[in-house]
Amino acid sequence: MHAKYWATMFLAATVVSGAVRADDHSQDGIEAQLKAAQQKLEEAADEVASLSEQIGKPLVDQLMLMGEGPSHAVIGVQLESNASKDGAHVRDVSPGGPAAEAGMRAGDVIVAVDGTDVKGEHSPAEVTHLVRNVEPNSKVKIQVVREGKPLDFEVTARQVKSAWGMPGMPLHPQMSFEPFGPGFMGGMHGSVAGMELATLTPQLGAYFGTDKGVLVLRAPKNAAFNLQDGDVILSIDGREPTSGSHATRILSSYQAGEKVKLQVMRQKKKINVEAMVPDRHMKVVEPVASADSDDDQ
Amino acid sequence: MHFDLEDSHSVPEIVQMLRHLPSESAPPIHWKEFKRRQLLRRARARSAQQRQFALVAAVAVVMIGAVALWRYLPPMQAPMAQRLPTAASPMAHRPIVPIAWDEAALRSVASERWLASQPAEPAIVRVGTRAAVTNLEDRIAWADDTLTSMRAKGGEADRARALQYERDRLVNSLAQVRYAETLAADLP
Repeated sequence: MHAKYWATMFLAATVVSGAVRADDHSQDGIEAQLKAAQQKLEEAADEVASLSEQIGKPLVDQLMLMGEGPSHAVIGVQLESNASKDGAHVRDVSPGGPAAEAGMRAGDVIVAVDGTDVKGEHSPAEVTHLVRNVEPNSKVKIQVVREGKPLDFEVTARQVKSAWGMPGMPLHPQMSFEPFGPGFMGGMHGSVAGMELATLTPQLGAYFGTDKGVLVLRAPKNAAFNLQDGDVILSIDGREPTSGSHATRILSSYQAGEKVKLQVMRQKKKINVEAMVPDRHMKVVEPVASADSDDDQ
Repeated sequence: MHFDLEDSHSVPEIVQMLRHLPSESAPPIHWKEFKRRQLLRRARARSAQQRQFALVAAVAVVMIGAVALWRYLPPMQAPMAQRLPTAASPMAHRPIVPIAWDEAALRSVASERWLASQPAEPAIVRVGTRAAVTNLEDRIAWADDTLTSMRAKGGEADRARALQYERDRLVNSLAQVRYAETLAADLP
């Protein structure tokens, strides 16, 4: 009687554990599928961006030959062409552009750029001239009138020189859908694409021992930069990233063969990482502790 | 013809009376005749149904043929004078701009509105997708500044229109990429 009882119990336990294991396997499978779907989603986004750029390349080539190429700093503002004595009327502000980041809006009237009055019949041309002469990454003081009230904005001019490459040259020589061909993100795509960053809040900064920089939530798998989860990127060749987007923009500006120096806060100690950007993969040249590595904060 | 049975008191009398009742209805048809009539009725019903099916099929064939003709035959050529916009028609005062350009412009307005409602960047920035976003943003910023420059200089109206179209298309692409970025960020 006992033997039969235990045999039945054993059989039942085997069936139940098998079912649970099968369920676990199916859960793992779904999670893997979800990860793959996420990857596809991101690849599709890259593909949309890449194809959009390729379509516009011939027109940009023409404009570059006319001297309108992206070789100067931009602020991301479209002005009305109609002359106006009260200033340059903003027709549109580029989404995600420097002016939009600073808080400018369509409908604003620009009255001064870096202290120079631009009210007059040629105000749009004057604004263009003044903005084009500023150094990329420098701050431009723009005074506007909004609903009758004066407002001051500090706009960080961006350089988009490498955005489309040289006239006549294909944007993506390999014609693959990797968006990081020349001009997109140099050769860094394979090296840092999987990296996840977060803008440092004061609380996070206190925890990690710094009040500036960008937190590395997930380091690239191939360890190209010798970065680790929990590192804080303090500077990239002296440029201090203020957000995840800013860090991405800085990294995107490098071309294959260029060296990159990163200053990183790791376990509340500063270290320097030097690397070179190859065509597809970044090779770490020398991960060394910096001279100021003892500067605990 | 009916008797009052309650007047009789004996069952044999009643039985006798019943036996002598006259036959009021014809005897039922036999089984073979019943089967023959049943088969005949079914055959008639089937042929009527077949006629109905044939009629419906014929109507369907005619309709499909008409639709195919309407779709695939070249349109009737109207005289050129009728096809050109007249001074009274609304097309007469519009610049010659491909319809796709107008659509891109309309969509970009909606895209910009949606983009304006989004945070500048997700809480967790995935560098791969963000690079696509920042690159598109930079190109749009360049297009806007260049449009200002071109319009300020005057001339090159066709190129300016083409660049405006490119700008609108980039804005739409940016909205798509940012949407994908948002979806990917929401996945566990």
